[in-house]
Amino acid sequence: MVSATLKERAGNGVFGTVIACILAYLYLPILILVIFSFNDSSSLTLPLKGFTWQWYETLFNNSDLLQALRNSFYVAISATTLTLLIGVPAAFALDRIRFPGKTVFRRLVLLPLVLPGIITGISMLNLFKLVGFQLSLETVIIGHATALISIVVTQVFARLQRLNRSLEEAAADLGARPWETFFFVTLPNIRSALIGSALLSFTLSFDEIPVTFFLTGRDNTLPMYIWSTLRRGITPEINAVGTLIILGSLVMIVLSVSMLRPQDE
Amino acid sequence: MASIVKFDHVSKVFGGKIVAVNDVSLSIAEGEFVTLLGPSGCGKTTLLRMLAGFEAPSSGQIELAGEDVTHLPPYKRNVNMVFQDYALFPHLTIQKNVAFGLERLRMDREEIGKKVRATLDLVDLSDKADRKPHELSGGQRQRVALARAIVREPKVLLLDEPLSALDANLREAMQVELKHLHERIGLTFVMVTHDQTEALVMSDRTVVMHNGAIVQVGAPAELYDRPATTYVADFVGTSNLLQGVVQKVNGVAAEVAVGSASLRCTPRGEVAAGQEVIVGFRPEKLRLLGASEKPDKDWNVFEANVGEVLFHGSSVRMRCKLASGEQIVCDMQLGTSAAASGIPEQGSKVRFTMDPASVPLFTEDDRA
Repeated sequence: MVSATLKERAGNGVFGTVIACILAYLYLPILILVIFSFNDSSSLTLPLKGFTWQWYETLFNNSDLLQALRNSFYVAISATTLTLLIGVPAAFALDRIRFPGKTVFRRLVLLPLVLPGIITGISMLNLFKLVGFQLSLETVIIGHATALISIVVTQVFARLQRLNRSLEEAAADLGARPWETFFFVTLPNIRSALIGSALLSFTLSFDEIPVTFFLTGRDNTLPMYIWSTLRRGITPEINAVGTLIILGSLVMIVLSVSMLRPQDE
Repeated sequence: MASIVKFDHVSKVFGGKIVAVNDVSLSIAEGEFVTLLGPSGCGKTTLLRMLAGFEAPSSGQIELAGEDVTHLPPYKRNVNMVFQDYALFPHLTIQKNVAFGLERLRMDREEIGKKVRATLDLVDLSDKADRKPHELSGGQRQRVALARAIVREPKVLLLDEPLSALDANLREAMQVELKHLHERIGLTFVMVTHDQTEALVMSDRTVVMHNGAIVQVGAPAELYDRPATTYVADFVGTSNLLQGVVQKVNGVAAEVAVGSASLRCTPRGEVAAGQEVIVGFRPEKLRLLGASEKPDKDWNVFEANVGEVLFHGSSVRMRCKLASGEQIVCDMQLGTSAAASGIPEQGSKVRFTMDPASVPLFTEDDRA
């Protein structure tokens, strides 16, 4: 009895240590970044000097950085919108319409998701050069959308597959025209998949570097701006930006995960 | 009574080869409770879905209240359906579910509220108006589905296996409740079921279907007492069906050799001596003869060996074997007590007697 509890405790202790190590491995770097963003010293060395908002103040006075932030929002919102506009109808087509090559289409639409961003970036760069497109934030948007469409199509399609078709029949039976059925019954029931995949797309696009690197013109997105300033060494200002991005990403990811969870029942 | 629904030579072929409904013609009177009865795959659901507008017939015509609705979409037909899985909108409250159909009619808000409340009252769910479907029990959901369908006052209410998702006790209660509802609101009900008891209990008229075609249409008692084919005899209630050969025909009765026994039967059509036939009789039409008891002189008498005896409470079911090997089933109602009723023991030899009028004959043509 006694030895069993002891063993159990020892086991729990080992288990707890392993968990702590894994968590430290995952989050220690982030924690350090956050801590140094509030450290009252321009060099990133220990010991810590004291608390300051200074780096956040300089950050909000840096017009280049703010422009990059605006660009990032523009790109992420546009890419997400474009993705939804193409991805949602595609998911409906996969679910509802029988057409030749459907299985092939289903597999191919997933491919950009697993392709490395660098491949997407290079290939799209080639294409845009070929057809004579000026590189700009718009070409970045198109580049981002290719990979994101896979996410939207997969999520929305999965939800549509689970959607009880008799709901739509019931709506029609109760006098709803096809557009009323779509807006009052179908859409509310796949709503969480739409919002969830849109949030996920937004987050992924916002943080994206490889595709952006190849496809942007003179404008920079936020991750690109950070990367370019790194050449002059890590500044506490960068840590502050990093902290803000982490905060924003965290909110988005929590939102998207909770949205993608199946509704109660 | 005027007919409200008319199927005119309606057929439905899926994928160019699977015939789901085969040349069905049927007329349903206003206010009637009609059941489409048959095993799964007999075409009953497809027939109902064609009336609702979810499927278009491959050929033939469907009339609703004198209007040709064959190719009208569901949202333009004045029929409403109670779905097998209820298909309640999970994102809407009960009240909103019931109001959905009225909102589509662009009805005045106040009017909608009044009708929804009245209908929820009717199905006894007023206190659940603000709940979501998943918060309700199976039986309550069933009633919401019903309320949602009848609130639009359709010309015909369609019910697709409405009770199949309920457990046995609740199902029995709902059978009665539905029947009462039908009497109260006077709508025409068309129900699909594979459960013959449900059909017999609830409907004014039952349509027995098999392989996409109608086999027999009739009131429950008529189907039970005078099944048109061996299929109906077997599907509606239980029947003993025995192969036999006609010995001689005299007037309305025919003598048929079944194994070693000779039975007097009542053929419905023409039969001739030497013809192969099927003798059908219900398990409860058999009467056990006491050892010294004299049978009625016109009645059939034959001997059998008692096999299994199954106790059902108010009755017993015996599986017996004729001397020539045929298996038959006999139901025996019990009297004041099971002990006093003299249930024969397993393995004992018994004599049965049976009224020739309750023994129909089926010819080869009736085997469907």
